[in-house]
Amino acid sequence: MIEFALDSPEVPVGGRLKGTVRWAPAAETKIRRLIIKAGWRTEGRGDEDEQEVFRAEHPGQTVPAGGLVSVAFEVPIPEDGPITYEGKLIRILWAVECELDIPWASDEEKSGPFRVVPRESSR
Amino acid sequence: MASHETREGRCVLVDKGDMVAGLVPWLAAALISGVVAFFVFLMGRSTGDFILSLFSLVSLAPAVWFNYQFIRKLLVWMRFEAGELEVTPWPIQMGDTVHLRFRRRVNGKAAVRWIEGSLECLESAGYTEGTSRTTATHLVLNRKFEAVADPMPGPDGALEAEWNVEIPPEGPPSFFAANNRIDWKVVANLVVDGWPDDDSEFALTVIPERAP
Repeated sequence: MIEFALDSPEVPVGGRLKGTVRWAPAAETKIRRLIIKAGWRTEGRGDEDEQEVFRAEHPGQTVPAGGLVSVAFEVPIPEDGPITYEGKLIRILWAVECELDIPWASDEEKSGPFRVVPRESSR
Repeated sequence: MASHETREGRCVLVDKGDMVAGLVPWLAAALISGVVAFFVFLMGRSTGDFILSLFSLVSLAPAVWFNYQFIRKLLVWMRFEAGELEVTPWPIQMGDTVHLRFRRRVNGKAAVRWIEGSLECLESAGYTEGTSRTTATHLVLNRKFEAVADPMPGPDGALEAEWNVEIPPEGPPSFFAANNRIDWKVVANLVVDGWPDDDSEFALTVIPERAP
């Protein structure tokens, strides 16, 4: 199972979300590639809007049973956000996602939410 | 909506809808709806068809409404120049106390009774149902300012109103996407004796920063 370890569940706009993705297979597994991506999407009354702000692809490898894949990532959050928002018609949600592309088997995916908050004034 | 010019932490917004360009859509709508109503009327008259005659009466309604709106806009445009709003500070942060200075020049004499103003924050969510597109809105915040009674034009002929308003510390900041938006705007309304009232609208941008 994929696990996320985030340095902080909150990050201000213009900041960087730092974390690590970990995956330990039960049996020896060959992975074709590992993709980490992050972005925001809207939920609510309106049609969905979404934007991916970060994407990193890591090359494949063979992981032995009991082995551990650990990949650090750092997501730059845009200066203008948007911030995480819970409104009446609109919700804005941020998440980091990991996809493991495994040949001849179901790919593994996991999504981990985090919050983007306003930053302190630069004045 | 509004164009803007920024300098030294303040911004002057101008409502383009108050300018001559703001008349064009109303003129186009008035002409098109008038021509449609006229032709439907002619067809109904020449054929003597009762349904067409009835339809011509119905199609007259939008023509009258668009012509009324165009004449109203024209009268306002003749009497008032485009509204301006000076906003300090700029850009606006969450929790800022914002100073607003509204100005609108008057051509000739106009008995302006009140200048009213308000700050609005609106969520808009657009969605598609079948082939139709609908936008749902929710007013997050609506703050009415103290109205200025019997404003007198200054030496340059401009009426003025000044207000201070606090943007809530929790925002929300402005947000613009294809289907969903969060808009902040200031609406300033002139209430005029014997002349149509008119609104000026100014879009504000609230950035995701917390004021000190």
